Amino acid sequence: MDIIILLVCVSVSIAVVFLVLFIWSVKSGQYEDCHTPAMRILMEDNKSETKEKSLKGEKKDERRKD
Amino acid sequence: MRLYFLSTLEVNFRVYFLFCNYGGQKLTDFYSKFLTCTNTKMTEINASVQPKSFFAGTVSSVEEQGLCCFHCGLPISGQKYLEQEKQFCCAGCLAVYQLLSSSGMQQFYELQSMPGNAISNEGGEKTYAYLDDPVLQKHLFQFCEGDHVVIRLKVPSIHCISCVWLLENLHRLDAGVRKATVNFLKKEVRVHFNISLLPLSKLAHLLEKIGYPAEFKWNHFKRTSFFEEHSDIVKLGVAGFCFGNVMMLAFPEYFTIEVPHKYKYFFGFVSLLLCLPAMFYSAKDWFTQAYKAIENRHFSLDIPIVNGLLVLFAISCYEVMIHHQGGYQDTLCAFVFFMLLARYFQRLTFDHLSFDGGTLSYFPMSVTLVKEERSTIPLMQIQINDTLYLRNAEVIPVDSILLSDSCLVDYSYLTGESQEVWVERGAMLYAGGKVCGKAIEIKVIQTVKKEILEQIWEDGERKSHKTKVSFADKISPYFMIFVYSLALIGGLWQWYDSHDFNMALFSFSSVLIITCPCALAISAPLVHGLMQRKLSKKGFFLRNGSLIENLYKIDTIVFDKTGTITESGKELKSIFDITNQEDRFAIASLASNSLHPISRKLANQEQKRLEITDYEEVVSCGIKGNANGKIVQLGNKEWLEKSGFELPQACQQRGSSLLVVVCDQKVVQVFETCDVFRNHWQTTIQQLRAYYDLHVLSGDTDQARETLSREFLKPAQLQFRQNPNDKQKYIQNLKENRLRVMMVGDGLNDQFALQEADIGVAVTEAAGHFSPDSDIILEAKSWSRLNDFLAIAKSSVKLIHVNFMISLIYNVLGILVAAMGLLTPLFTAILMPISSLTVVVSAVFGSQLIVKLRKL
Repeated sequence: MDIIILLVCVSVSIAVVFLVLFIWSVKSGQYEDCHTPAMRILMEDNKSETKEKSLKGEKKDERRKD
Repeated sequence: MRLYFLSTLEVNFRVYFLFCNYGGQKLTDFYSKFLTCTNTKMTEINASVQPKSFFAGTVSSVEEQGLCCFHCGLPISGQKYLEQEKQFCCAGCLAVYQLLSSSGMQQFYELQSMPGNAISNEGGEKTYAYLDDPVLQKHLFQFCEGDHVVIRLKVPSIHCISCVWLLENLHRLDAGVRKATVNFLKKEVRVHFNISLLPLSKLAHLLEKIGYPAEFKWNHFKRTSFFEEHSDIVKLGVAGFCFGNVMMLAFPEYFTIEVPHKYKYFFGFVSLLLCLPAMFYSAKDWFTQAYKAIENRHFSLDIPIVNGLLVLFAISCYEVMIHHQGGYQDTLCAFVFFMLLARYFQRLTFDHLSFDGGTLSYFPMSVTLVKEERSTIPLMQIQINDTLYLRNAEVIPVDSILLSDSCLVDYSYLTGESQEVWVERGAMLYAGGKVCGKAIEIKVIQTVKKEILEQIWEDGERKSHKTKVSFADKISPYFMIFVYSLALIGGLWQWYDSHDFNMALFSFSSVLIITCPCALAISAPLVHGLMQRKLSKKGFFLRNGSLIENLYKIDTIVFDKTGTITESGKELKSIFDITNQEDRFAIASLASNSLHPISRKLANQEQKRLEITDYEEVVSCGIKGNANGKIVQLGNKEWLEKSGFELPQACQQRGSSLLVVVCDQKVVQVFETCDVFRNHWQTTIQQLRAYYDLHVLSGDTDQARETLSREFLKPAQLQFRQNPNDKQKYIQNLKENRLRVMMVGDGLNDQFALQEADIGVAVTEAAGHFSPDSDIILEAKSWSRLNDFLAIAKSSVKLIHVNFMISLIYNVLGILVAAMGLLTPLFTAILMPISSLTVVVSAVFGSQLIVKLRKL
């Protein structure tokens, strides 16, 4: 049964790790703004710069239809 | 197994915080939006967040004809700018398009169609040179080390996903920018940049060039430290961590598992250690507040709370150290955690609103100094005998003497009169006036007022002189006395009965534990927070939730007239008209070129458009143009009289708020802009009249006296020609008569009165617009529901009373058990959460019921 003492110590120290991670996440500003990241996800990654405009036009039309 | 459970618990807490942040419904809202968005990639998200412009209606109709600017989406009238088969409304929009396409940033237009902001050339290009002043910069920068600078800029024109994308890709437009992060709700950009490559003034220019001018106003740059902003959530996290782990260690006791004595001691000791952060970090605020309360010799709810915490902690220590028993650590942690949760819930802030608008945002950050040549300097560098150059609509920063010929000055900030004043050369100009019309030069005779500077440099929240004594604070001393006498009686009775000192002490402490005002501490903030959220959805924004209790006590309401009961300048009344059909087309076509609200009204009167050439706009005077050979000019009376036109006899005697239209050198039409009463104002007043004493203070003349007195009944309570100080004094008088006053006003001229009143309500046309310092912001469209809002506040306070009764019943139950000496940690661990839970449930459902009953 003595193992439970070790287990308690391990579990509490893991919980402490999570707590530290949580404090770190607050400090790094993850709770500052909960709206903009949701918009960022909708942006595509940088595309190649030269893209035909006609293609874009079509795409836009498709989107509108959708 | 145990490890797994613990880690999931922590993860759950994290998810829970995220959930808290969003505030339940918002999260689900967001998810549904997210799902629709990923399909279409169109961003309806934003349409609901903020309507793009106030011509949304016209845009959609014109859109089909393909007559909108590719950049900003405004209808194209007059000259067209073409580039790569795309049409633009002005050179500014075209320039942004060219800049973006040359940097390969076409994606801006793909994320949303017509995402740009119209580039306004109003007042010419602004000079930002003053921003490079090191003294000023010290106050603007958030962080500065060598070249690397971080600044947080307010950019009000952020409105859609494309804006976010463009601003976050700012580094592609200028190598000096390292990183830019947008906060959409706050409409802020945090820019990391290299100041030696890109001076601040250049950055401001760049932003203006692409249509996102940053606002440089004093109150945006007040710094708050990390711990002010985030300590709440960290405290909550720590308390949650302690609570979860202590509960783990208390499991054997919950399930009455027999554990060997040494483990019991070990568990008790570890959980006592885990208690410490919850007690001395998370609950720190209650300790400091209780200390302050004792120091100031007044009683607040913090004292019984701290008392309960200390008793719990002391008894737990005693149990663990002396008796090697479990103790009450779990109850203690749960108590701290739930209280913090309720407080976190109550501390709702409205990112897009500013309750401290007032003076700070009114005064400019810089002025134009004239010395050999013009240069911009920061406000605080103004010295006596300097010559300053002020353009139209700029604020006179200090008392000074007019050097130019004569000018119109708008003193509405100081006097409340909406009428401009003519000032002759050599006369005094007072700080706070606004220049109307052409630019002037002034000579400074006084340095910037100390109070203004103090306000600028002062950090943190404005100190409020308003005392707030909530219901919970008021009853807490009686509560304390009651509890202690009960505990004493219980203890004495036990001693008398059993002659066992230990037993008596146990009974005494048990009563103290069980009567911890935990439910009371949770219920009031919870109801406040819930109500604050519900009311904000309807356009009634409380600065903080505890104002509900102040609203409950209000017995007198004072209204400002202009802008509060009436909407200013909303109606155009034609008082002279000799136009023919052709003239009307020409007038509407000309007006459609201008963005001024009155012009929009005129433009909507006719549908047919003529082509306008030689268009000219004279700021704050009027517009001029050639419609099919017909020269049309429309503008205010002063401007046209100066241009040599004579008004018809009938209109000579009218006030100054006239709009004159001239066609081919002849005055053809005269409009009077007049105030109209808000919709349903009579019903609202009638409803309020039944419960409150109503007063009206108006800065204007008594034209509206008759209409008002019909509704307000008591003519003595209608005051006209009041300046801001009169208004403040009036409210002071009312307060001296022991009345609880709520002031409803809109402009800066009501500022003092709003601050003086027990509750200041600022009416604004739309949330996010300017409003003076106030406790509550009320959207104009919800004005007619004022009575409902007040009634809801009243019912909410009653709900808090009901909750108090509920927690009292639990306490009596607990006291009976405790006084008999039957209290065990397990019993407390069950009774306390149950009582809190009942209170939470009753708060949530009760507030929903209240809102439903009022059909809000």
